[in-house]
Amino acid sequence: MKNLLELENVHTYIGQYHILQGISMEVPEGAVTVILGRNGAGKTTTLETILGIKPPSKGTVRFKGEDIHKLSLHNIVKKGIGYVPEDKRLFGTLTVEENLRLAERNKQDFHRERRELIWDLFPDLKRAWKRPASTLSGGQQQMLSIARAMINDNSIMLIDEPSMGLAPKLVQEVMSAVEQMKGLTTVLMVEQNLKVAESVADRCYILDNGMIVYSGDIKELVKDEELQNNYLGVTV
Amino acid sequence: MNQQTSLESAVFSMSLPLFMSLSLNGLSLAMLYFLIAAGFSLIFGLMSVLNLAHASFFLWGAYSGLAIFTTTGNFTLAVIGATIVGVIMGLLVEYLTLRPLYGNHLFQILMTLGLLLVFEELVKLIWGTTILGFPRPEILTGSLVILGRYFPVYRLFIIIAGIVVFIAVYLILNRTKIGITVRAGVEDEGMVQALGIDIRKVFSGVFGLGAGLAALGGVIGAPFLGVYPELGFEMLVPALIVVIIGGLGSFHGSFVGAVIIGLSQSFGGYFIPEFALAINVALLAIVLLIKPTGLFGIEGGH
Amino acid sequence: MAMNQVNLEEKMTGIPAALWRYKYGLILLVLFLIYPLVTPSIYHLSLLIEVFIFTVFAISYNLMLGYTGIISLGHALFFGMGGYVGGLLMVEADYPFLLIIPIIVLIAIALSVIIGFLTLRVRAIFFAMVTMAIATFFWIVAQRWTDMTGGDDGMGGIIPPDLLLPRENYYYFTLIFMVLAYLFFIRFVNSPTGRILEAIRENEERTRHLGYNVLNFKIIVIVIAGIMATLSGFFYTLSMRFLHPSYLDVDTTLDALLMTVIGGMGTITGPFIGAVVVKPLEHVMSTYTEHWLLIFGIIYVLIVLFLPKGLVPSLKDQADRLRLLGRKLLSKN
Repeated sequence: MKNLLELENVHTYIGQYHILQGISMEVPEGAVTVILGRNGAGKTTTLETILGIKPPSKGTVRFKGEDIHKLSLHNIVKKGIGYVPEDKRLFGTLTVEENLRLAERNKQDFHRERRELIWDLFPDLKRAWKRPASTLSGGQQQMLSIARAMINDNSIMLIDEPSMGLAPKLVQEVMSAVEQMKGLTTVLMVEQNLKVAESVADRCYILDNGMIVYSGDIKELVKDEELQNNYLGVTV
Repeated sequence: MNQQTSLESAVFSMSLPLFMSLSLNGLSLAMLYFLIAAGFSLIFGLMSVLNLAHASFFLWGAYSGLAIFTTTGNFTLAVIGATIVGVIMGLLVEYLTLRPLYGNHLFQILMTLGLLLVFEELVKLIWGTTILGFPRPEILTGSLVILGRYFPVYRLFIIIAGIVVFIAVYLILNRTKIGITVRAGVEDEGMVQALGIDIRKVFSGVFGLGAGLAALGGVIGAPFLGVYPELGFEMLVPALIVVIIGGLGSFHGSFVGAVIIGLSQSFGGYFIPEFALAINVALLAIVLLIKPTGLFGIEGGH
Repeated sequence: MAMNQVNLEEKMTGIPAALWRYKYGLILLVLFLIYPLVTPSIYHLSLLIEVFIFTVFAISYNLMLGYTGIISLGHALFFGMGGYVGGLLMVEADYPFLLIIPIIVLIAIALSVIIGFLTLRVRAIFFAMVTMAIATFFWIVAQRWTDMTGGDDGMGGIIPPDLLLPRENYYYFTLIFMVLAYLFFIRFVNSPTGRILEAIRENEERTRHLGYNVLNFKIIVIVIAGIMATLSGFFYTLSMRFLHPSYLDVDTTLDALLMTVIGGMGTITGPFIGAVVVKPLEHVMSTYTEHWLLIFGIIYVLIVLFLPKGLVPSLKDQADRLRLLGRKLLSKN
């Protein structure tokens, strides 16, 4: 399988803190790759480094074979990256429709198709179409945040802890959406919950203190309880 | 005591025509406040820049409009030209002096305060310090009789122009993608960028548009207010009060705030002329006490 | 290392370390003390009086902007209030000098607490906006209330008490005022409270999380700054023996800002250096061109843009760099 995204010996600082300490990572095309690890391990920072929100001080980030770590955030995104941030970051005063419209990049016909797909996936959003995003429930907001990243023909989706703060039933719904994406695009997802990750992931990485301590098939990890205890803490 | 009762009787005996006249006066003033406050508020909401130099765009709108009008004699041309001058000034100020300071709010305020002074002194250097008259264009002179009182056509023109601008910008903000981008940027500029939009271009655009609106206010307000170097600063203070009352970053808030301050200025100025501004300061204190984020302000913020 | 050096110097010179630290200040103080004995030029004395008073005004501004990160756009409000209330009480009500001082100090405290409470609990930026609005309000009142203030013509006849009437005496009086303000300033910024203020400037959020009531500390600062500015305004009025609405206008606030920015924000020496550069320069430039404010404005804008640490600290940096370069070159040879 071809690698869509590659990180090579990436170091990132936040202020004086050395958060990522030489991360190398490969995200194969068409698969779901999950980054696991405890709080503060550097998972979110990894996504933010790829996007250029927290540019790396050393190392390379390659997307479709092109170095992108020197570009600015909006130019990186335009290469075909959809981003679902940890705290959703919807625009609360904008309606559901406006939130999606803002995310659309040009190609009109494509977007009409995508809107219909999104309506099928998340019927709730269709019903709340003209309502401000701030009036949606937590689960609906997560759906809108995912839909916002799906509206474009992105080659990859970076999803940050989609299960956080959601009831189990909603987590399932969100995960089935991620499942649906599999056929359309590549996914790189940060997750803390191994059970949730297991249901969709093909490959996984474990981050600990800004370093990668495990990479491989997620099925292997599920069997290896020692590894789980060492790096993931108590599993659900 | 005596003054109090005479004031009360004056208020209660206010005739309908007087009420109309004061209202229309207040509204025409309100539109000028609105034109300067709208951009001021949006610029703050979007990029957290308290742009004190915004008042300079109003000032330069008045002077450049007057210069164009005296050379060409064409009022429409003066209005368009002054607005363009404002837009260009806005773009230059943003690009040359504020862009290097993004992320440093303190220095941006210090900068804009300095620019306010420089632009005012430049006006003095070029046009001198005397008050210049701006003759009203032929079509807009004269008065209409409304309920038995004369009302200058020019003030009606200002009111209509203000409302037209309000509706136009309101539609842009709510119907177009650019407008949606601006509103989203006021909430979370970082996420707008994460959607692949170059926020700096949006900043420049809003800065230019806001400056243009202020300059438009300056040129259409000039025949009514007169043209003098302190004009900008004198408009800045009511504009500050308007945006705090309306809510920093809120476009329709700046409109409502402007109407409140314009009317209070007009009525207050008629009944208790010495304390017209005191009423505004009192209104400001009340809003800060009861609803500190302003009537339409977004909670939280910077 | 630095500590050792100070101790060493103390041994060698026999001067206590605390005094040695402020050796330049002390030398300057001695020069100022003997100055009137050397040249009795009234003009120069008046200029120095102005420098002393504006140093205190700049200290008050520096405490807010440089040490706490609070920006006021209407600090002239206090300067002018001190001048007008003090001056009017003196002329119209015949209050004695020593009674006026506590009165204006109390007004300054009340005004700072009210403005601070109304604005700072919401958003720091509101303090900037509201101070500007209120200063302008008083400026307009001073212009329009002509019966009382003389409006734009100003108002004269504000005479200092007999003891301070001779120019030399007023000179020493304002010199003591400045020295006292400086002693307070140095002690205050080095006190635990001063350190919390710097923490607020550096990271307000974190300071709050550490459990400090940021609002209270900010209000303490603006109260102190308000008192200092009020007294400066009153003493300035007495020095000029004249009141004018310009004491309340934005140019007066800009004076304080300019001094703080030129002298260096958040530095001990900044206010004095700022005042000693700006005031004489204003006098000189205003004799050459009526557009000196434009030149000042442009200088100010350029400093904010290119030398954000302040003019003098930046020049010092350059000098240090040159010295280092020179030393390197010498050691190579």
